[in-house]
Amino acid sequence: MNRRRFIRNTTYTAALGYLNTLNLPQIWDTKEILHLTLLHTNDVHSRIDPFPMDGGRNEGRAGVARRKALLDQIRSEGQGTLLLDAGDIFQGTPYFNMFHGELEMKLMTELGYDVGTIGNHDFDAGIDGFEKQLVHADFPMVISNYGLDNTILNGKTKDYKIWEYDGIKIGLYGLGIELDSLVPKELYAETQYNDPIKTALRYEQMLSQEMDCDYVIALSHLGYEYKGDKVSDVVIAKESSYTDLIIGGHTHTFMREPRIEKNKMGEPIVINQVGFGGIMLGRIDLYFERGSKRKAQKGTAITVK
Amino acid sequence: MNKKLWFIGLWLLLNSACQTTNYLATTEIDYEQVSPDTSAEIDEEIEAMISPYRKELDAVMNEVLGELEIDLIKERPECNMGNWLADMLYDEAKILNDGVLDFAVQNHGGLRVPSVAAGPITRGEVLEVMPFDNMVAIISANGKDVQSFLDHIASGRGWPISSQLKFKIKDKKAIDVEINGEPLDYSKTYHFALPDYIAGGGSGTSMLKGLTRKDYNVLLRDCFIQNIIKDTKAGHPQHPVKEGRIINLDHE
Repeated sequence: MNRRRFIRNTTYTAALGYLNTLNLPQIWDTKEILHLTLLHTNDVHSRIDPFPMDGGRNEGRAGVARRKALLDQIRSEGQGTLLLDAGDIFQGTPYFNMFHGELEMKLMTELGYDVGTIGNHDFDAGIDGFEKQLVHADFPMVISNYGLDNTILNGKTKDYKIWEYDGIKIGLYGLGIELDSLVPKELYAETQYNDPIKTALRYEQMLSQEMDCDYVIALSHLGYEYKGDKVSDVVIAKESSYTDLIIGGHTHTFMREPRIEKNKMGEPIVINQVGFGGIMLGRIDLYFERGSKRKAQKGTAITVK
Repeated sequence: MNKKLWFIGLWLLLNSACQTTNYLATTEIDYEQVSPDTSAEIDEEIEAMISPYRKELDAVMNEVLGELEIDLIKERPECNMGNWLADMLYDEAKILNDGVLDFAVQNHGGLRVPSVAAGPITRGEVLEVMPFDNMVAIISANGKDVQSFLDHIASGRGWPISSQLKFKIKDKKAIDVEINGEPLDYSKTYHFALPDYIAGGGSGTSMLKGLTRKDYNVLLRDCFIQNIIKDTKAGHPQHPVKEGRIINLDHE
């Protein structure tokens, strides 16, 4: 689609009328815009081939070879891209049972994934089984709230990751779900689960305030939202102050649009998740304006086309 | 290439995180979910990478184990898919445990597909129903502990159980429990088979922790595969039905 026209045609709510003064199409037309496209999957669950033609709801959908063609097409637009996966790479088709995740990791490398995080099912072949496949992954696994010092993964994952694009810094931390009673202890071994809220607050503070990241992403396998007070992406969003975006997984949630929450400071934070199995690819385009002297304002407007 | 579905534009104008640099007085976000449709282009190099794995996989997974006469459906409180699996677990676990077994239970969440279509049933299909590498465990417990476990199953609106067990759900508790046609006896010891994951307290079954437990190093999935093959050799197709093993009296 024609993005410019899309942006020109877009309207936003009257309540946020002050946005009008910013004249967004003009911003778009200047050369002082850095365009970065975030692409994301979650809970792909070893769905290497498309869903089988068995009369099921998803028959014929998804498939890694198709996702690659789609990625190539998006990347050919010429902007910077980051490809993220929010966990549960493993388990769900016989490919995993037979090859234990080797092909999943090789294909993700070939597709150019920039980062992944660890889901509960990524322990299904044991923490040793996961470690064994990391050799095929040419991208880092970022997980900030698992203590892995006493496990075979010690030193093989990252707490956070920063990318720089022409002066714009993107920071990312990873949040994993509580494993107790979800994964047998013998599979996750001595992995220590630390409080995701405390972890998120510490890492967003560090990335945003100490390391000067312009944009902070949480890559999460906590799940979108639960009844009761179980920690989820929505809970993290409300507690956070410096995170801009949460890319989630675990609950296999198909969202019609990203959810905008207000963070602790009353500012908008975006949550998104794209179902499971690679049926969808999430795409979020970020535009950073360089060196603007404009006084910062904040607000959100959404238009569904 | 077809792209479709949602186009959502959303602007975020941020400040706080950005004032330390000259950049990013403004962030705009626009959003799109992209779903390649079934006719979309595929990447040939990726296909070539997958191909040898797929060949090896297909050789194993396309093996037809038997004939499924009706569709298998996963539902609560009772379903034919669950009855089928729980009965096969019962048969095979009883053999493993030298003929000592009262019933078998499978957790609802362990069934990983919503349905299986009638027709030839392959090794790959069994694997998709039960992908987890759960092993057979047998718990020996008194009737009172069995009641607590069944109450947990009732609060979960029913799990697959083998034909030896029958109960109703009322106020999220198991009532009118019958095992082999006899009312549950709190003082009697019962032996039941279940996935090791559940025996170890998975899916909220903390009441099972600490009970007498025996573990067999046999995958549940292999029990099912073996059981189907036996039936096929004996000339029996698969035809599991619902038969009122669990009746939910609670209004949902």
